[in-house]
Amino acid sequence: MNAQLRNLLASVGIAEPAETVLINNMGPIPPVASERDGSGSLRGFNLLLLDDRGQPTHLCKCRPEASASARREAHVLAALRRDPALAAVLLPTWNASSDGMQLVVYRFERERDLAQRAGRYGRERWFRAARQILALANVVSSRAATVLPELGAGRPITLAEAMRRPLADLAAAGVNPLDLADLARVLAEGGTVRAHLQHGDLWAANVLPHGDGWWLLDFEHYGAISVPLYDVCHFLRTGHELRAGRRAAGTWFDSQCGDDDEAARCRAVIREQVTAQQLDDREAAGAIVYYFTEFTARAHRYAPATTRQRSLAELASLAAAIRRGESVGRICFGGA
Amino acid sequence: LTAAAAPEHPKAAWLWLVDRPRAEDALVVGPDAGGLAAELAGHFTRVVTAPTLTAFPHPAGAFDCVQMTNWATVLESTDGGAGIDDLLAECRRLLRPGGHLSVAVDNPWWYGRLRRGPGTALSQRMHVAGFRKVRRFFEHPSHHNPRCLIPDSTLATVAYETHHGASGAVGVARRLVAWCGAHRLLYRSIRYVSLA
Repeated sequence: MNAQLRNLLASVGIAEPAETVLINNMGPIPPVASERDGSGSLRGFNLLLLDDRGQPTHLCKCRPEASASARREAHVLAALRRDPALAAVLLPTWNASSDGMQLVVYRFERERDLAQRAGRYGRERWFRAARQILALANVVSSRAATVLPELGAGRPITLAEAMRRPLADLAAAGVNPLDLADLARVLAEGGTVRAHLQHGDLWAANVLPHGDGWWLLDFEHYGAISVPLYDVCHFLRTGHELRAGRRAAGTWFDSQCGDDDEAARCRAVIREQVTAQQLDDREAAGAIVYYFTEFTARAHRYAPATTRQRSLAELASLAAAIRRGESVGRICFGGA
Repeated sequence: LTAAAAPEHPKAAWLWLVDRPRAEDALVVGPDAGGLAAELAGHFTRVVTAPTLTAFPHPAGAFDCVQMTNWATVLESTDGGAGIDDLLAECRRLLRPGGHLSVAVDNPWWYGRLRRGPGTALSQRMHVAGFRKVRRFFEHPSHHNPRCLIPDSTLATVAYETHHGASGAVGVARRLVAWCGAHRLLYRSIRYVSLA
């Protein structure tokens, strides 16, 4: 192993591994000025550290020192890990940096992540897991509001204002202006909501089972988005795609427009979260439109073509439903 | 709608997995050496490029690293592979003690070409050329687009396939192959990293 990596690991008390597997090789470091290069791809790589029996002991994220998301993850995890209430939710982590590189090291857990199990979960089990995980995310969010006051939990967010840039990006990318106008109308009706810190990438691959509970992983985007229901929508939408796999005929929003049992269960989960976060129906509908619009704008900047096209199709479906006079609240959580 | 460019996976990431006592001079050999040279510039003080090693004028022990952009193309300049031993000897001559030669080849086990092809018996040939230690990494999905580097060992490939590999029936089959010690059949490309 390279001496710089070896020294960084030693600085957090981790001995040189017997073997190292390099995974998710995304972009050269150093040199780098920012975490994303001109094409928008992330920079850095991950290492799987193995002991002399070939067992993984740690997962090590190696990122450019300039990477704001790695700094954010290290800072957020360091603060949250000090909270005893979160010891069973967050894996032990370490972080270090020097000479253009920073590491965030997670203790490795043998369990396969939820994304690799989701296809085998029946409907009952999946929605039970979803409720538990979303409840954990709410616990983390409420604790983070206390231990990370700089993330601004509780501040007012005007949805139309927060969405101005993503809408402009989508307009520049050629999305139908009529669609964007319909989305903007629902956002404006949503008015102002209280910031509720979101994980930002809460999907099954960032969740590990342990015992009767779950570990939450990947805090690179934690608190960057604070509009309520973002994590809920992202978890349910990506879970739907994971579980349906190749059988998926349309998008998650299309399936929500139906009246089958799966859609009804999703509506029930979202409704519980709407109630828990004390949102009225208009605010909740605005927050859901925020999710779809922000995710599509982000996917357009960074995601592979298939994800981009799928999210654009989903946004078009949402806009078409609004134009037909259908209620986003009724479709997504059985509201008005 | 406009489309973002597909991400490119760096081809010098192997440098993080080896110990380098010096990081001053690197040589990139092969066509289109510019991209790799820019990447190596993040690791070395000076980077020199050369389309081939034929009649290369540098003195012995001038470099800490020699990396080839495309082994097969470079070999074409050595009589279709007949001069492979001369090429390796020249690389060894150009490297300082402790320097590294890095070449990626199509995996002969994957392609079923164990008895012929430019990647055949490369480890032995590197030892004959004077390299002290040769390590092999599998590059997945290929050396043109190396998203993962996995050391050539049963334990490492089992760990990779178990914790980062495919899911479903394909994943089970791949883990079984790795666990049986036939891991070399699983990957398309091998990167050889040899120590001068």
